Amino acid sequence: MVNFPMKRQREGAMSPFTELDHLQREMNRLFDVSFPRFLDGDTTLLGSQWAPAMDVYDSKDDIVVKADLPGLTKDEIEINIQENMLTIKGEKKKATDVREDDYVRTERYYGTFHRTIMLPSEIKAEAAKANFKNGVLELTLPKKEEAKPKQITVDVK
Amino acid sequence: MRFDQFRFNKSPEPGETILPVVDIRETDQEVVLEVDMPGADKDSLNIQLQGDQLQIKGAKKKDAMDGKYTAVHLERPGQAEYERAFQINADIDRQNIKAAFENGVLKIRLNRAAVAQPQKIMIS
Repeated sequence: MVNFPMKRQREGAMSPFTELDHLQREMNRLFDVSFPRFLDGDTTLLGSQWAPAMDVYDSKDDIVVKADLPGLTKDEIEINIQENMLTIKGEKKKATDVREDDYVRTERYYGTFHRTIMLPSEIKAEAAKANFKNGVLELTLPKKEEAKPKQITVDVK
Repeated sequence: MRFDQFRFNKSPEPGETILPVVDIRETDQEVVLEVDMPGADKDSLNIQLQGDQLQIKGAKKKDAMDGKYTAVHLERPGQAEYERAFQINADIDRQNIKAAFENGVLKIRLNRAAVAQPQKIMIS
């Protein structure tokens, strides 16, 4: 439950999770095996970097990728495909017509994001389709013909 | 493994309730809340002000994927309910609350009630 108005505590409003940040660093030090989601070891709670949550679905014809990007507009999202590497990047900006001092609580993430994932197979980048609705990016990526599974019939003599 | 940034709305179990993240800003005229609810249906949104309590609810349906697809990687919530409540300690104009849902963000504007002007009472 959030009570407001609350006292204007800059420090408190911007970084309520200092302890958790410390804990996170400790845990990362203990479990130092990288995942593609965590692009570099410097990603911290209080840092500006964040990576969107993503789902990947595979079928014999195409791959569907979904990413949660609330608060972004479609013009702020950049999608790049190189071979079977998909990169989604962009910048979530704070509204320019508001005063920074007016914020009494900021839990949402701002700043640049960048995430690269490896797709299950190579795709036809020129035939890729993107749709952005309710803060969810959905990409439909048709597979290259040679990447599709083929059925081979062997004649038994 | 590496632990992710602390986030309220990360990968809950199916059908779980998500506490959505919020930004609140206050000016002399208004209080503005911005709540991240990616994937929520606009029609599922329910905002209620009861007494001093403002409650926000919304539902995110499970992605309806064609049977030919197999999930190879899942991080986003499946079927989920967004739910969060706020205690409002400000004098607001209850008849004039505006809400909009755009790009997965619910924005609620609460106007502060017009401050009663001090009235000078003349003694006859």
